[in-house]
Amino acid sequence: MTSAPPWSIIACFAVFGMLAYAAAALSAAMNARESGTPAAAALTLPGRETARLLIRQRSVTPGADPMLARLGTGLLPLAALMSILVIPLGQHAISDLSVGVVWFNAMEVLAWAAVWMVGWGSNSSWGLVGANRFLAQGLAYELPHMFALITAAVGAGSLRVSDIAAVQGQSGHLWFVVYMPAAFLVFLLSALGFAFWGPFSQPLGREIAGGAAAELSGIDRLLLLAGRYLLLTAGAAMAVPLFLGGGAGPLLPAWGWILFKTGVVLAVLVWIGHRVPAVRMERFTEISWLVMLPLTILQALAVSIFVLVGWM
Amino acid sequence: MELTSRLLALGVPHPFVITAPGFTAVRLAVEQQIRERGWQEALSPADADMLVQCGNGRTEFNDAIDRVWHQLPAPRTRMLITVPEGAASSLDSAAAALRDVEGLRRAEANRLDAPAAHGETNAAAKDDAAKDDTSEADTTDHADMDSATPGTGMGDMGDMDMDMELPGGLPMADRGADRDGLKLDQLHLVLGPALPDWPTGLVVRLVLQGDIAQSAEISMLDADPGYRPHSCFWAAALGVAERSEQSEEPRRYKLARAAASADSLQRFLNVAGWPSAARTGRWLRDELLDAARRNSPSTGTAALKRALVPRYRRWLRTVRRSQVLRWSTAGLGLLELEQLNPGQLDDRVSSGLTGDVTARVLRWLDDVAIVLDPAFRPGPESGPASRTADNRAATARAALAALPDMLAGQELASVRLIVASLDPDIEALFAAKSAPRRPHD
Repeated sequence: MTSAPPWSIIACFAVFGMLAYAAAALSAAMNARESGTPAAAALTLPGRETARLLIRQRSVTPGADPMLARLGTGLLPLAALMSILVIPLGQHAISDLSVGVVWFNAMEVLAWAAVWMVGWGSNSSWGLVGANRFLAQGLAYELPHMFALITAAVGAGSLRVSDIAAVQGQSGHLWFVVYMPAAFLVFLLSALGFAFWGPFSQPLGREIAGGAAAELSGIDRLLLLAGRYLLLTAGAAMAVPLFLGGGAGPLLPAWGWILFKTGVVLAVLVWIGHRVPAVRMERFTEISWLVMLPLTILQALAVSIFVLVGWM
Repeated sequence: MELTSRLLALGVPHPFVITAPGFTAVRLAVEQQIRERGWQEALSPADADMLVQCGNGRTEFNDAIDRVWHQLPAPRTRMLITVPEGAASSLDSAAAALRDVEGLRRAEANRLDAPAAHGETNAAAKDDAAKDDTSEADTTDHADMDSATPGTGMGDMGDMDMDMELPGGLPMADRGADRDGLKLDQLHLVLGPALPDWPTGLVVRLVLQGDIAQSAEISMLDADPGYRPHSCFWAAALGVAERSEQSEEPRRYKLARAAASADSLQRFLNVAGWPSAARTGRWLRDELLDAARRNSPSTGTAALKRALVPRYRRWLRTVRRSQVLRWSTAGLGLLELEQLNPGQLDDRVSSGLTGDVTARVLRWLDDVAIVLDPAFRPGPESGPASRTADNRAATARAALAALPDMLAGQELASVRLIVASLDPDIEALFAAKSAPRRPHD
């Protein structure tokens, strides 16, 4: 495996940055539509919000642990960027690790630490409640999420993300979403979960004054929000090589298909965020452990049998 | 300098709105302005650059305002709006103030508590009366400054040994027995009065262990005797509509009630973690209120037409049919008829309160559906007369009486959902206290 040239790393991050901005802009436009203001004007809103946050003073609460909180806010976008490393944007990823799926999972779990550090470090009741909500949420979605990832890896017989995508591009192979629909749906749900978006946005809940972000201002808030959209983008982008055939498709080059599919998945995730109210973790944990977990185990079992029998 | 003012000009303000009891009309005008301008309401002081004070309160309210003002990072501005008509111009001038670099610098020059400038966490306790023109010299101690979030002063801290050096000079949490017989840290959390999507003028003091409320103490903001009479916005709107019921415009009463219900609904939807639906609910509320206010039949019909577009019917259907919403609120905050002291209550009052959170929310949806959907027929239990102008106060009083028992043992998210589903109208209570008593109040 040849290592990617430096310019392609920058280009890759730029592309993901633009996708994350597009997600934020789409969400802002939907907000505007819902409240009866022109949606087109809202497309620049994430940029204007960035400008606003860049010049805002940081806020520090008495007894806070600013070091911990700032490590957390910095860690979140960093975790998202590091998870992007293994996602192929063309034929190859920036760093096509042989354990890419595990790497992605590990980076996404870093977000647990990041959000918790932010909430705890700000020494606010709301922050603390929000931070611990995210941990509870992680416990709820993480196990089904890991089984969903493993199912895709089993189907391809490799933990390398580009291998998983390549298998689906071979003739006689369908996209993995056909073989493993339950794993795909669970993956999308957990993408909403680790980006604390939409139905899983309670760690930053409105009813706890913004939760883990309640005390964030200025650059800290900017990093947290950017990290959140980058995580959502990373989740959408990862669904493409795992379940949607990677770059496979007619006419367009591989990177074109990957961008298109990523955009569609991202738009669906943003749309779900506006369409579905938040679920409370105390009720969702029941679903995730009693329904989703057995479902993903059965899915993994079924795919393992397919592989043994030679159907895929 | 040049760059700063350019970036300032780009930013969209995030106002933090605090309302005094008796100024719902101002709040509604401000919220409508914010919505139409595409501004984003701040959820906490840390995210806010504009402190919007709707109406005047007394000591408790002013203290809360000053504490919140302390917590706003620069650049920031504050304003007081006392009449609904003043909302647009006040917000205009506040937005202009947020773009004036020189003015902002002058205002911040004397700020002693600037957290970033000092980098010391205990600097926040210093007085900022120097530049604070409406200040009551808010020399709050650390305990009050603790959580630095909307309305969260720490309550009683117990007898603490203050000799030990503690983070930020804050006292440690006290411990108490929890329901399983364990000794756990207690956190005193005050909900209100400065909290987004919270009933105006309500203060709930919680003792939390983990995020479970062990006990809840309910009070009303500035509820000292001798307070000047309040008016209740919704009761007045309903009353005017009721009086005109027989005469020219029979729909006005229904419109006013639908607007009141839409207001409670948007608040509840925000608390339930569905801000998208809440935004449309707020928009619908503004349209309904506009239609209800029109006196002449012609302009009234035009305004009503705007509220009857399919968009709102779609919204109503989505909210009513949302399985996720029902699933996360079902069985929560169940209030039986026996808990309400039925002997002393009007049937119409108790029928508006009983049931779980979902049942109460469905009643609001019915109120809105009666206006939006000509084919809609309310169920037998959701009597259309359940929330007339007169019994808003009685409903609020019964809700406040039932609240402490309902909140004890609930998780923080459930506490917020239960309060939002009751949405006690504190203004109506104040108004009823100052108004001559009616026989059935």
